[in-house]
Amino acid sequence: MIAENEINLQEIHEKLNNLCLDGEVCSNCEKNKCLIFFAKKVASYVLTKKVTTIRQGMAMIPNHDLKTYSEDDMIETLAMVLQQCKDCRDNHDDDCTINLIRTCMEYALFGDKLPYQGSVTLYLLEAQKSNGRVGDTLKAKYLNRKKTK
Amino acid sequence: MGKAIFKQRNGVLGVGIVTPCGFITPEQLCGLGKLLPEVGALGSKLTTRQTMVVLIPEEAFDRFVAGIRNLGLDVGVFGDVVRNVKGCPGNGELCHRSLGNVFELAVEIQQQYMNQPTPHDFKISVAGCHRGCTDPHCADFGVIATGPKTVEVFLGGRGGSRRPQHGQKAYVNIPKESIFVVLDHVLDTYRKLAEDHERLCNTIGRVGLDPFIIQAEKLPGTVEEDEFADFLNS
Repeated sequence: MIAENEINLQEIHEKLNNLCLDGEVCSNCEKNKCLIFFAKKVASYVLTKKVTTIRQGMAMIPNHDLKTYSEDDMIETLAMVLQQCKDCRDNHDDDCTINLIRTCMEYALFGDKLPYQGSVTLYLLEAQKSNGRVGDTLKAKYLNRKKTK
Repeated sequence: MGKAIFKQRNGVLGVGIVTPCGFITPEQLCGLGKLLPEVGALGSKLTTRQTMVVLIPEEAFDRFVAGIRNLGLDVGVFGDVVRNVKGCPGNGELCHRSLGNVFELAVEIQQQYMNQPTPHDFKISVAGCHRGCTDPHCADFGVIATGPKTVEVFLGGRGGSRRPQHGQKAYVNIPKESIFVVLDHVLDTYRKLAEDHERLCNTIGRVGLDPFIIQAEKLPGTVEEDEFADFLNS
């Protein structure tokens, strides 16, 4: 559970905006059936409405989206999202807006969602377990961003 | 109804001062700083219920009460009544973590309900997020904000007891403005169904939670559930 003024989705929103091809390459935009479109909408909703959770948000994630996304971009975005996670631990809420965007990236990157126990450290271990190479890259990118920010 | 005045072992009075959910202005604090030595206070103690108990000689009681009333404060309540409300500093200006403006809500609940008679003491706690700094799970009526306009309500918690227990989640994501209707209903039902001096958790244990529930569609206010779905499709 986090408060609106603790999170900064501006950078993530810009990144997702750049990732979204607005149907140019996809031939026709699937809108809310697309993981990037959905994640972009969540970020945009947070910035507009100043909310931290979206009720039933998890249930709305388009997890049947099977498009292939740029691995580098997904890892980069995931690292950005992890930076905004507040390590809520027991207070973790699946419908947290950060969690929703992260889950979209997971589906895009791993093809499935990973368990999240309210801790970035534990999450990085899960990512490593799921895919060693991607997990290692993600950890390196996250630590690098953390160092430079 | 009972006042929060407790004779101590050494003969002095412990007098509980109630404020709006523990909030004291600098002027009130300075005023107390002057008043306490004037009435010969031995000391004061901050309580777990966000009140302050001041230890004063019995003969100074009237002067003390007049003094605190001049500061806009009052003697707290005790006994089988709705007690003062514990409220966290969750609002637009204070706690960063709060999900809704609950401090104002808690103060309003206290103003409207404190000192109303109940079968047993009835404690209310209001928290701005699930961290629950005011221990809403340990209150007879615990309120937790789940968003700017929504709250959850837990019923039947109690802290200090041989058998402490957490309240049961009774209302999920209801509109904040419906809290007064819910509280009225819970208090009315509790008064009707409780046996003599029965704490709410025991009444719920005997009759179940159902009589204390108002169906969501009958609650005032609306939760804009489909707001994000509309936004998504826009």
